[in-house]
Amino acid sequence: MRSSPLRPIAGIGRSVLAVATRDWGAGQLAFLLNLPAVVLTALVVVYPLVYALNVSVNKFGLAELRTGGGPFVGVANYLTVLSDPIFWDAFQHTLIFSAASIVLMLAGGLAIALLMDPRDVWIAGVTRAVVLVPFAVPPVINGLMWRFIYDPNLGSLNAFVHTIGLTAENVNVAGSTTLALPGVVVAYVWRTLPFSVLLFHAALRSIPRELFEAARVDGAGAFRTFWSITLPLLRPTIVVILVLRTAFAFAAFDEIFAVTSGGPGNSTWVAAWYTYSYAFRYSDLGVGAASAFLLTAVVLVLGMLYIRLLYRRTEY
Amino acid sequence: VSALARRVISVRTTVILGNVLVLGFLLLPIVLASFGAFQTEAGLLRAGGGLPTELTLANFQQLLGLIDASADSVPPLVQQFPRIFLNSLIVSVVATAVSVALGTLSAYSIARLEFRGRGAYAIILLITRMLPIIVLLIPLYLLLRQLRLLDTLAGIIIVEVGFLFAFATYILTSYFGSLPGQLEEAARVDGATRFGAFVRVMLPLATFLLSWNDFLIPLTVSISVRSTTIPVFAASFVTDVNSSYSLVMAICLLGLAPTVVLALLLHRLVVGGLTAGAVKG
Repeated sequence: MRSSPLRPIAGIGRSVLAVATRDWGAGQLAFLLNLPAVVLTALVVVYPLVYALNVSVNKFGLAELRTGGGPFVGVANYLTVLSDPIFWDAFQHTLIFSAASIVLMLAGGLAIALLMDPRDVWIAGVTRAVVLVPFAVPPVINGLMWRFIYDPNLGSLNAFVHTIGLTAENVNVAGSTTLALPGVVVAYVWRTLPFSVLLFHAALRSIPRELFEAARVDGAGAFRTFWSITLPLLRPTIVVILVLRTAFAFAAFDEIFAVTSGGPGNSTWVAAWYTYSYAFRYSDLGVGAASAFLLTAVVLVLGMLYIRLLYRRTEY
Repeated sequence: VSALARRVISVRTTVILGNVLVLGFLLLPIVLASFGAFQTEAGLLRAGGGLPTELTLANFQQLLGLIDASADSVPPLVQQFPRIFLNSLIVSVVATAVSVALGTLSAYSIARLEFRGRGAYAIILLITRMLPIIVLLIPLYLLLRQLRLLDTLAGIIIVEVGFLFAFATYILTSYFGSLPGQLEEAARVDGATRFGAFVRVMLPLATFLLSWNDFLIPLTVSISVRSTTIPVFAASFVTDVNSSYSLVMAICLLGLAPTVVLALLLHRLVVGGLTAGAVKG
């Protein structure tokens, strides 16, 4: 046994056992448990973030991509972005896109949650069964589906519009400066709506039944009950959806890429598309990174708001 | 008349009609996409967006390599569809397993252990979850090039795990936090609480879904068919989609099938489980 080749392995086994059975301090154990995650976060989140910050204050084009760095230009890239009228167009589109999406998500999400709530209506069970389907569709694929539906020659939207006699002309949603942005909003809301439906559904189910009983005894009608009892109790849910989905909507990219690719003209340029275009289509990585940080700043402010609201929520 | 009408259109009828409309809204886009997938390009043109006149499986057969597509003017990448599907499957399964494992360790330590910087660590993880990924794409590309991980599935998995484990940690921290310390033992003996079962099934599912649906990370990493995933493959048709809608819709249906089937299989747990979790919080 003394000369066995297994001896070092047995030794390692013993030390592993010794380590595992040692009485660990909380700090040491936490360090050990999080070591792989921290290393990974440092590698793929923190380091790239610092690197991107560096890119945003340098001249960084295709040539610099090969050599790995360009001359320091300070805030020049940020000034380029902030003085670019297309950036402000994109910013405005982002605000419209986000506001419209969130309003539809809140109103539609609550409506669907209320409709699928009754346990004694058979078809409400069917809705509950399929309500997650849109959420499971990959965003790029969702965009391609809607692009097909919107197609002026082959799409079903046109066939429908012609059938009901709304107009005899071919409507080109993705190619129209007025319809393209609403068209992208519809595609985005279709996929993300189930998120708010689920949160509303959970919140509705957690309201104690006795409250509704008491309201009925007091003679309150359905509308009055909804307005005075249900809606106030849903406020935390509404706030969570509002903040979290605004952060996501601000960075929305996939559907816009697939349905319109920013077009026609720049009518569906949003913040994320602006960044993507400068970094990957125009190869001006410095300007791309600067615009990405402006977007990140807005999202992180919303994130801080979310964290504060979460902490306040756990207090009661 | 209005009083009578109000009585006739009872609440129950409104709920039923409303659910019919909602079901149409939820399912119609996929039905309309199927119109494209189950017709030929010529058939599509003839139908002009209306109901299909003749159905065919040709698009699916081409994608699955069941008929020789080389004769037609089909992009050569189309014949690689099974490999691309497999790429997506490998990335999603491995990324999910690693993310949930790392997330469990982190969440346990955040929920149970008092250590310095715990609050800051939790906030960094939440920021990771909300960070617009587009800000990191350029450095990630350069980093992976340095590590010789460009155009590899490992490269995609490593980057995705960096973000997905933060999501897993976030969900699991609330799970660990919801179990009172002394109950932990009992729960372990029992198997699990309802919320525990929910997390155990839901978390891997949600992580798998996020990985399968992810677009920007594989778009940055892949160069060739070696590391192309389904969303990247589908997106490669964006520039000239007009000439091959039927094929693209078939790709879309096959690409959304795995996650949609999972969502359908697990709806009862999701809807019930979320409720169970929300009652506590």
